[in-house]
Amino acid sequence: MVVIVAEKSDVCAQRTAEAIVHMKGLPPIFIDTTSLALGLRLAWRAHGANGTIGFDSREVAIAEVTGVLYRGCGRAADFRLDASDRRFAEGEISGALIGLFTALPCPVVNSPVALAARILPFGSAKMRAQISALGFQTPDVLVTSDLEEGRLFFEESDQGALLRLARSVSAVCLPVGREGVRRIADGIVDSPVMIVREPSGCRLQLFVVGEHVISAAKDGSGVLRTVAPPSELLCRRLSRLTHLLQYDFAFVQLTGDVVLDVNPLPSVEACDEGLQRELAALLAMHLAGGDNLQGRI
Amino acid sequence: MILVVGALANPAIAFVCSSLLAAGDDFLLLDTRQYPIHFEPQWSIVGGSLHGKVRAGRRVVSLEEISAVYIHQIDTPPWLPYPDAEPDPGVLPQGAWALAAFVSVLPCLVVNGPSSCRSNAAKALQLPIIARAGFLTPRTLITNMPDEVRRFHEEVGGRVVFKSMSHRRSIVRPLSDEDLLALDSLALSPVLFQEQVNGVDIRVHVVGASVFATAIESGATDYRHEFRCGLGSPLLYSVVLPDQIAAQCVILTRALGMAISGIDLRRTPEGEYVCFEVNPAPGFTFYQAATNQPIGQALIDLLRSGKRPMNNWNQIS
Repeated sequence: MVVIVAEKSDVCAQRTAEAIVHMKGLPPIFIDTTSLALGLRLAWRAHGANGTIGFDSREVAIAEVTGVLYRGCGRAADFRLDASDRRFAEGEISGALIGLFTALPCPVVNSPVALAARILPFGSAKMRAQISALGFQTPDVLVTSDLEEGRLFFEESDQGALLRLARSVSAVCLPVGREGVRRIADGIVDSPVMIVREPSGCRLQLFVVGEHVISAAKDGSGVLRTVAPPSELLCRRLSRLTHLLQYDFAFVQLTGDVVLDVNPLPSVEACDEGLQRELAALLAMHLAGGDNLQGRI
Repeated sequence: MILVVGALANPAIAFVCSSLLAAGDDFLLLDTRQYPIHFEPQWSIVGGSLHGKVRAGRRVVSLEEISAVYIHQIDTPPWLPYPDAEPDPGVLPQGAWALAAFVSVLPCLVVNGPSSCRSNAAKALQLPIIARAGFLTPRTLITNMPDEVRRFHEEVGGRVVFKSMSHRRSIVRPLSDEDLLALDSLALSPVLFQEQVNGVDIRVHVVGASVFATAIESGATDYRHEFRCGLGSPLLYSVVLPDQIAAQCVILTRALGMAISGIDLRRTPEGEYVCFEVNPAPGFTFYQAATNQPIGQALIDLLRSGKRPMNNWNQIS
């Protein structure tokens, strides 16, 4: 049995649930993170994978869980709780689920520990060296809460730049000129921002699910569609890269050998239906036990 | 230069600052609540080289000058909620994001880094690691289902305590008959239930490779609560752990990526050591004051050395 932990409106989770039904004839347990305190049913004996997990009227023995699609814990959203109690409940619920999902022997896509490991990417020298050992490079970046410094770095980025907030999991392209500076200023209000300098070359956008890599590109209307696959060698290197980061599912932006960003919680709303279903089928196969990712390196 | 991160009102921070001051060591105190007005970190990686600085008031310290960092009880960024979620201003001061991101790039010793503190926000995550380090752990149930609690209560002969799973402080309490009648409120949030273990509490502080053990004799289930609320005065005294247990404490601390830890053990009447949890930001001054153990001095020595304890996770994973 597959368990999906996501907001009900998460298209990636919805598509994966559909693909699992198609593959197994049985829907996954869908834990809606917008109402965790209302629907979650958990009984976990912490010495091993014993107990049950469920949502609303459905539950499954923890030992029978073959995979978990974990898209974050979300909010307790219980009208019976005031703000302080709600935060406490959220901490307790996420603590319980993170503990359980870390203890499970099956694939958890992506592991909560891996998701939390890096606040901003490319930080540690060790990580940069490991990325380099795979034949990739890390980009030039500036992390700042000083708008003037940010503006200067951005304006010296001839080929463009991406912006990533400290609390976010993904980088977005900065528009050129004043609008880009305004976005930096908006981000700095909240926390330091990371500005990623884009090198010259063609940027590739790639979804990685285990060993599988799908190359995508935006069409004229801004919709991401599947394009010709990258070389086998690049697929293998990308799979190793995401494995190094302990992600089974990620969206990678790459220019040449420079890894601009790795998003471990990609949304698929911007993808066309075909790409959404292709990704969902790969995730379903992985979660249902049909795609063993062990031994990629 | 040693970076100290936390609130001066905290006794551990106050101890470190006063010790460094008395010895004439160069240090900088940052309080996350003062971001970004009073301090601001910044760094870049250009051409593969890391450069950075932190501005604190009028002082600017380059990243290369920082030889060690001591962080005590700052709220670390939570487990990622979901993509592009709006931050809840009540959850985390902005400065904590700034500091957590900053220390994650520092190549020097960080006591303890945000990533190693996260296991404290999900105590169930610590349990298998504690077991792999060779400790006994109490039978544990995490649930929001009343029937499961009743079953567990029967299984362990009615001797059950309960506590929070996250880093939020809670009082460890025995599950009473009254509590058993009020289990419907469990639906609001899962709770961690554990088999009650008889014995003497032992708080072990590991600092680098040094181990300090304090026995605590108290009539309360949670001696910390007893003391804080003035309900009694637990008796604290130094004890020497068996070599094997002391070694396991060091291994466990390093396995969790910590350079300092406060490990909660209980020695059973049979002489076994049961481990409950590991605190990444121990309030060591309380134990030090009662026992004269030089825990704080060991911390100061560690910070001065700037040496990172080796992670020996592979030994037990």
